[in-house]
Amino acid sequence: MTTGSFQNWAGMIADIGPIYPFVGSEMLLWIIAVVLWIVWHVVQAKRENRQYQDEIARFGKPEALRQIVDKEDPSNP
Amino acid sequence: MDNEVTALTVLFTEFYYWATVVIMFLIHVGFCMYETGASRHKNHMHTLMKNTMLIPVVTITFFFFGWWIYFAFPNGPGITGGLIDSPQAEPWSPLMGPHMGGGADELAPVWARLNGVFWAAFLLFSWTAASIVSGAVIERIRSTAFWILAVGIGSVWWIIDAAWGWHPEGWMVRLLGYHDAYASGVIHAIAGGYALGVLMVLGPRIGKFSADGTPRSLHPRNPWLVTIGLFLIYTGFWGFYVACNVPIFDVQSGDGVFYSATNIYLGPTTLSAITVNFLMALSGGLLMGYIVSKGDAYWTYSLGLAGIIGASAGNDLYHPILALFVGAAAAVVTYKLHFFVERRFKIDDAVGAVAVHGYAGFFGVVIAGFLLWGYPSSPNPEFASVNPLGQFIGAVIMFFVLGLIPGWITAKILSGFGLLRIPREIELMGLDAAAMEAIRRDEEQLIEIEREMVRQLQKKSA
Repeated sequence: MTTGSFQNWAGMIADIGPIYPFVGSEMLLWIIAVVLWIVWHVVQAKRENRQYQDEIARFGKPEALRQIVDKEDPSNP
Repeated sequence: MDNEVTALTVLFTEFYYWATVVIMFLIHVGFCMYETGASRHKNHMHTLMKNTMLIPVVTITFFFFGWWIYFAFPNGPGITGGLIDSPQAEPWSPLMGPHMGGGADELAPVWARLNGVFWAAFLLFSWTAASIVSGAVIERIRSTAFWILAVGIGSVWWIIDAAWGWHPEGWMVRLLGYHDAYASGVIHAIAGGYALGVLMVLGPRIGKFSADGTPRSLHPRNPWLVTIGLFLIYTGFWGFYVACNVPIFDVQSGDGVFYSATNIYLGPTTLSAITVNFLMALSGGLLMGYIVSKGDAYWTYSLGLAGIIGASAGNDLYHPILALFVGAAAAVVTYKLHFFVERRFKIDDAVGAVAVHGYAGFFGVVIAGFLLWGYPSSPNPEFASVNPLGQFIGAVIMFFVLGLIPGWITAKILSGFGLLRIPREIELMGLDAAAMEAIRRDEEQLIEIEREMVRQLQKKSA
């Protein structure tokens, strides 16, 4: 069994075309990859929304925000 | 590749472009340092990751469709013809993978060697285009929005403009005489325009403008990181310049043979010419930048970059002293326009990206129309020659038509879905609030352990 379209380097190398495995599956690989790319953006967007909701719940109260802003003040020891 | 001359030419070209990709990688290192150094401490990690993750999203989409656009769109399509059949650039083409060049296609031996390195060189331009936008929008954009915008500028809009104004058969080269050898407009004006379009919708950072609209200076938080980042961008820019050339090409039309390096349009130039002009334009930008910014380090470095960008459209042909003057003029235009637009239109361009890339790039394209008036835009004698009107129209297409308008529309759509700007509370607490809190807790635990050990040592010694 072989996944490639050639089995050794003997013969005319100039006649050899693609040397990666599964030649002929390029279109299928492209479709799968495009779908996964879109899924990645959707997952990432949901994760980012969730993260902001969590952070606002934890640190978003006025007093907590005041403390964070106070820490940025260089004149605050 | 059945003879030594062909093999040497192709293999040298393959290695040449590979080397440009490695050097251009430094541009992205520089952008990451520069942008992170300009952000406040509470936003450092988010700022870094926003820029870093544009690498994979732009890379895969440039493979999925960007590379094909460059070869398929030189006619518009619909302006000077239809879509051009480009089988070697289709993402499912065997020539996009490891290939020895055999097969029925007579161009396969050449494309098998050069397709990947050409693709990668153009991809690094794509990263640069997206990275230019990244700096302008720091500290208030959602990563979700930025990465969608990055795909737009990096894998769609800039590569359309490259097909129109950079491809040797592009319709802008053919009809307008458009000449932009080192991408004043093709990369910089479009990315600057796109960033401006996004900023118009995104709005300024909290505190950037006072109640009466007067802008406040939000200085870079780490000037060292910013300036070293800009130094690295200069360094990577060498790879950018070199990647805009073909290193060895028979430029003799008709009978005879004459090998030369060429610009992107396959018109003859020399590596010596662009090396001297790069340095003279950088010097013009730095010298004038130091004066107009009154010695401000951040702006002096930035205006050195603006000097190169301003001279880039014609740096294959300018005399070095002309490159020096154009670089100096670009620095003045960039600096003055940045602060004028900030005051007049309340645009918060956090790192001056719109100015350094957009305005300097626009200026560079226009000024090349006057300085190179009558020069051939490409080796094809039937194409229009370089002229001021053609260059001005070209600059408008780059900055506004393919830059500002798509950026504004995309940002409007994202804003409509509530995906563009982070919530106000997050902006106040900083994008790294949770991460910084986790670090603080871990530090406290560690300190408590250390205190306990000290207590035990004290007991022992007592």
